[in-house]
Amino acid sequence: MLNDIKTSTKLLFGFGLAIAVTLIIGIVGRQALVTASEHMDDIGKNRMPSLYGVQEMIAGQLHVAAGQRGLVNRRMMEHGVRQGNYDEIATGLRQAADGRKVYEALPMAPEEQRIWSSFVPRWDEWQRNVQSTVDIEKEKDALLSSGAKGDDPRVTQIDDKAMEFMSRARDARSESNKALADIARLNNDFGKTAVQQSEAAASKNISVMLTAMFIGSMIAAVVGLSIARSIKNALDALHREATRLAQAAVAGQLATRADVMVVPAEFRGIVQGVNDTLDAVINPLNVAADYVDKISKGDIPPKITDTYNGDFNVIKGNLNKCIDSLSGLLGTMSTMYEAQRAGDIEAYVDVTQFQGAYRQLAQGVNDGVKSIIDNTLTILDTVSSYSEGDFTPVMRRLPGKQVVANERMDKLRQNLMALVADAKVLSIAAVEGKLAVRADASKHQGDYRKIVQGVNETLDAVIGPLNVAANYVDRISKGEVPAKITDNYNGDFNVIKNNLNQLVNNLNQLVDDMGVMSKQHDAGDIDVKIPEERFEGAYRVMAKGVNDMVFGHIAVKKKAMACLAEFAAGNFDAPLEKFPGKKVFINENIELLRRNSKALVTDAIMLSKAAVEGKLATRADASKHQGDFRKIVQGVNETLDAVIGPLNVSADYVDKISKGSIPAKITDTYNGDFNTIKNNLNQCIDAVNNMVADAGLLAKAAVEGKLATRADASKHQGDYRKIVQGVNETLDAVIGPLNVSADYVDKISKGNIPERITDTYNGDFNTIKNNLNKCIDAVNRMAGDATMLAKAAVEGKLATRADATKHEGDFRKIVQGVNETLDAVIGPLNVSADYVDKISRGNIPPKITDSYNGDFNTIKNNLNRCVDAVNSLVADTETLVRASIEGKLSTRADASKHEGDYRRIVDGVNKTLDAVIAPVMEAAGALETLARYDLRARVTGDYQGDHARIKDALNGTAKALQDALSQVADAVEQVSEASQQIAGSSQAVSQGASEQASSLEETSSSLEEMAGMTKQNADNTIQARSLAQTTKEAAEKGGTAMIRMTDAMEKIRAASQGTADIIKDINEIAFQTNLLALNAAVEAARAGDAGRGFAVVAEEVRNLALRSKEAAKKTEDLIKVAVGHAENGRVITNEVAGSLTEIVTAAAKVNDIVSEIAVASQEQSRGIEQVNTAVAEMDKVVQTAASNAEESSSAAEELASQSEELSSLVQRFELDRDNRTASRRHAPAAKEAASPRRAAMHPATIPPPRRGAVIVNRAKRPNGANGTTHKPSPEDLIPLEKDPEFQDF
Amino acid sequence: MPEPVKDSNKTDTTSGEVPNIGQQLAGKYMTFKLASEEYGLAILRVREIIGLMDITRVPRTKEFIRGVINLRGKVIPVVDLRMKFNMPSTESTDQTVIIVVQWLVSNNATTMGILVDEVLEVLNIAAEQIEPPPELYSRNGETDFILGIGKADKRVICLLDIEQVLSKDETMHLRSLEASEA
Repeated sequence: MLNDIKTSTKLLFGFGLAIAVTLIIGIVGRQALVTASEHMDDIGKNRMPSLYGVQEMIAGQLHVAAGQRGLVNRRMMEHGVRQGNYDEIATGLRQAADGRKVYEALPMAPEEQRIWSSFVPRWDEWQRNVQSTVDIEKEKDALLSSGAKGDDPRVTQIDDKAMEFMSRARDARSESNKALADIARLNNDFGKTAVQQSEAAASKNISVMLTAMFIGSMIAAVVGLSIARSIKNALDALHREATRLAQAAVAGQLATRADVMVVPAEFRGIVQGVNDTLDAVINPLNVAADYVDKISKGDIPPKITDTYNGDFNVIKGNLNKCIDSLSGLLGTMSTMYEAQRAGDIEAYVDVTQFQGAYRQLAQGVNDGVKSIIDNTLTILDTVSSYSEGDFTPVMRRLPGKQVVANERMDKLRQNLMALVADAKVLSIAAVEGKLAVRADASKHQGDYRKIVQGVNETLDAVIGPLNVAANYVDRISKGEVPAKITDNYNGDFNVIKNNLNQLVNNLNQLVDDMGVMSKQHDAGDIDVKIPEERFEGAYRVMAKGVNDMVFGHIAVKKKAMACLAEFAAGNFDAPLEKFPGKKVFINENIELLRRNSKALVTDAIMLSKAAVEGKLATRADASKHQGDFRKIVQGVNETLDAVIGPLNVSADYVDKISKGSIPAKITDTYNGDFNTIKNNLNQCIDAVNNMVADAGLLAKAAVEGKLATRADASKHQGDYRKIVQGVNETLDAVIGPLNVSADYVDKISKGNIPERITDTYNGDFNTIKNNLNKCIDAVNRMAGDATMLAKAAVEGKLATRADATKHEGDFRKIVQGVNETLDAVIGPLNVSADYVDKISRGNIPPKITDSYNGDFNTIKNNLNRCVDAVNSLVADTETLVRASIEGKLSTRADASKHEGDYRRIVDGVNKTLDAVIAPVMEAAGALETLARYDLRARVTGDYQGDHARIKDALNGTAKALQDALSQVADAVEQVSEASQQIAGSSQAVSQGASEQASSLEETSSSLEEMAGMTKQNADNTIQARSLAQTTKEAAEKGGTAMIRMTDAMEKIRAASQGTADIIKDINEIAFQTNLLALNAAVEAARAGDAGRGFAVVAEEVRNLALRSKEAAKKTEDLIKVAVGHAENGRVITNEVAGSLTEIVTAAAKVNDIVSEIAVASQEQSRGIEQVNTAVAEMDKVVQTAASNAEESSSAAEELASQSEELSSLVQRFELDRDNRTASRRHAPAAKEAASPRRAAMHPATIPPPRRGAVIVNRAKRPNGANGTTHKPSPEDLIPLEKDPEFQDF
Repeated sequence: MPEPVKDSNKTDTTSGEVPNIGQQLAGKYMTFKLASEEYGLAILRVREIIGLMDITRVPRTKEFIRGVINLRGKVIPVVDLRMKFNMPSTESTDQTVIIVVQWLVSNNATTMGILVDEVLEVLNIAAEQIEPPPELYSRNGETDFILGIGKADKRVICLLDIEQVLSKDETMHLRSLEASEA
């Protein structure tokens, strides 16, 4: 019930009640106060003044009484004091009279009246008595002043009278005072009564007022609470609605509005304002959503022309941009299509005016706010109308709940004002499009804050998706198709999201299809279309427009392309139909292209012709062309410049390289292919240089004989590598056979004759191979012949000769040479063999008279000498023999007739004879005994030396014989065995000898060659030595000349030094002269005018001194220079001298070395000759050895038979069997006895080397001559192991 | 050839009578070298020039006093002008000479030798060739001994007042040396 009442009514009612209660209270209070006031009036106007008057009267009486007493008092007789008492009395009287006047004016109660009437006679009596007293006293004063003394009886009389009066006055006064006290008491009682009455009225009124206040307060509280509750309810409803709105907004239910009816009428304005705000916000949103929806469906709406502010303007701008871009796209496409089809047609889409709802919103908000303010004002007016009386400030100041109500009202008003202000701010911001503006919730309290927060959240919920949508639309309008929105929105926001996603889908589809089409078109499939049916609305129009446009373009292009194809095919005269409209520009362009191309072709032909003709300087005239064609021509020209410049450089380089003049590397910087050319040229230069280096290397290696050296083909590339590889292979091909032939020749030269070459070679190599094979054959033949000859020589078939006809060329000469050599060697050999043979046989032949050369002559002479010696020896031997035969034991041979060993033989024979003959006799006796096989015979004579030895030997022999013969049988067996061994050895020796012979043959030929070379060496060396000598002499001459020169220089230096000293003297003289001149000048100055002439002279003298000093200085300089030069010369000379000394030393060294070489060569030559000789002799010896070996062999056999014979002979001896063991002890002695024979042989068997063979030959002769009589042992004949030469050999 | 008056030499340098100084100083000067600089001595102050001879050191004399020489029986002190002028001392060369100078001090002839690097010539310096010593030099009066600056060709010659070269005390010292040796 109460809720339906308007808040204002409620408030009015409440305030009315409060005012009514207040009025009651006021009336009651006023009544009480009036009563009180009456009492108080009585008290104040009557009682209090009455009391005052009474009191005044009493006070005046007291004054009078005091004055009376003063007058009466005799001690107060001074005039001044008395006058004071008079005054006092007068004053008292006056005061009393005043008090009476006061009192008499006042109304009097009946009791009072009564008392007053009794009082007045007393009062008058008192007054008369007082006056009488004063009069009496004044008489007294007059008396006193007339001179009466105090104790004057008159005065005392007066005093008594005065006393009397005074006591009467006092009585009257006390009585009047009594009355006055009664009156005062009466008045006081009246006052008290009045006070009591007013107090009672006041307390009554107070209780009434309290009751009224209580009732009023209760009523006000009830009314206030009800009003508060109704307002709270209203606010709750507002809050609920706001919350609901916020939730609905968050939920996207933008159509939701607050219910106006749920809130009290006063607040409906606010709710309406909020609703309007939402409308204002959501309207553009819906419009935008609608637009986006339409756009997403391809239905392009007209542009938004309304004016929006802030963010709405952005949204509008974005939407318009989107629409613009879309419709612009459509328009442009259709325009282009139309333009392409019918020329240049332009179309424009008209946009209808869009009316926004923001104004309404603003109006609504304003209305709401205004109604709120009106209501508030009404309340205030009501309140103020109530408080228009005096109570307004009182009311404001009133404590208690009224103030609370008042404050609440104020607070309510303030909150509502704040709310209204925020709503206004928000609506204004919304109208201005500032969607980010929010109300400050913190300014509000309680539910108001919730309201504001609700509004803020509503705005957030609305504006959040709005911004997303705006952002998407913005991006789409900028052509950036964003990803689909995947966030979840509710309600209208979801619609917006879906629309946006659909828009994105359509755009993506369109873009994809366009992309596909453009790709296909790019790929050449120009028939590809955009599938129009897939799109709707404007998108389909767009797709169709694109298709039409593209195919229209393609049609024109095909025609133009046909023409261009003709151009491309080189037919610049191909026709082109005229295209309509602006497509004429294609005709114009193609015609221009035709013209330009033709001009270009002309220039190209010109350039190519010039290029063909080699006129590389020819350039096209670029000024004839325009635009890029000019650039082409300029480019061609620059290209030609760029090409021909490096071309000339490379041509120059190639020219130089082809002429073999390898230039330095190109160091200039080129680009691109020119750089490649440059690098290639540099590489070519490097390659050629490398080739040259390798060729030089190979040539040098070839000259140095390093045939294995090859160029490193890996360092080269391409054909250069092939060239190098070819050269290497050529070298391999050349050097391979060369090495084979060199190897062969090497082997051949070393005597190791290889097999025939069976490999197949071509050309010259075949010739070489054949020649080598021929050489091998020839050498083999030679070797065969040599072997044959050697064998024959070993076999002693000295007549055997090699068949020279089998050999060819120099080989034939060699063989013939060998044959002739053999002839030459064997001829004399045969002769000498014959002679030796004869001599050995004792058949001393006559002297050889034939003439031989060289060694053969020596042999001849030796043989002759040998014959002589042997003949004389034989003669002497015959003489001695004859004498010895005749028993002439004293006969001796004449040793002086013999020479050398022959003499020694003869001497030896003689001495032997001398020495022998004495003991011989006794020995003969003993021997005779022995001869009788009596082996016990002994020599007993005392002999010394050899004779003692003979004696011992004989005795030993006898003993030995005795011993030996017993063992001879065994010995003979041993001998037999030994002889077998000897036979074997002899065989081996014989074989060795034959091998030696063949070796010697080879050695001989090698030596022959060596001899020739050595000789040549020697000759060359001699020449070199003489040259070295000449050099040395020349150098020495130079050295001496240098020494002379050094001396000369030294002399020059010395002379210069002397000159320098002289110059120093001159300088000194000049210095002194200068001083003298200066002193003279000083003296002249001192002499004044007289010395003027002298001064001149002094000056001249000084000049002379300076000049001589200068001259000396010059000379000194010259001499210094000369000395310097001399010093230089000396140094140089020393250097030259040193060099010469070195030359001399070197020359001397060369000379010495060459001399040594020469000597060595000569020695070598001589040595080789000696070796030759030795070899020849060795040959002979070998021959001899061979024959001797055979002889030894036969001798050994003979020895065997003889040993048998010996054994039979031994049987014949008589042996002292007792002495056999003793004789064995003497066996060493027997050996000693045998040694002289051997010792005698030794000198003959150890001859000087070259004489050995001769001796051996000589030894042969006795062997041959006395073969049967004396059988020498092989060791005796050929003491092989004792001959040092043979040992060496 | 006006003879430079002894009294005027002293007064001129200090009084600075510029127009007169040339005329007062013009005359013959014996020029010599110290290091690369040329100096001039009024010819009448020069007694004679002698080659370098053995100089006997006198102990406990100032550093610039080289010692005394026996000049034909007369002992005179020798001053090393290089030292006196605070120049670096050098070895004597064959050009080094001693200029014997003489002047009167209260009718007593003061004779001394000054050791110079090289004696040049007797040069006649005209009045217009002489300029007063620049003020620059005369700081503290230490260079009072410069009479003027003579110009010959491109050369500059310091004209010395030999009597001022040595302070009075030094002169007295020298004279005492001379007297003691005499």
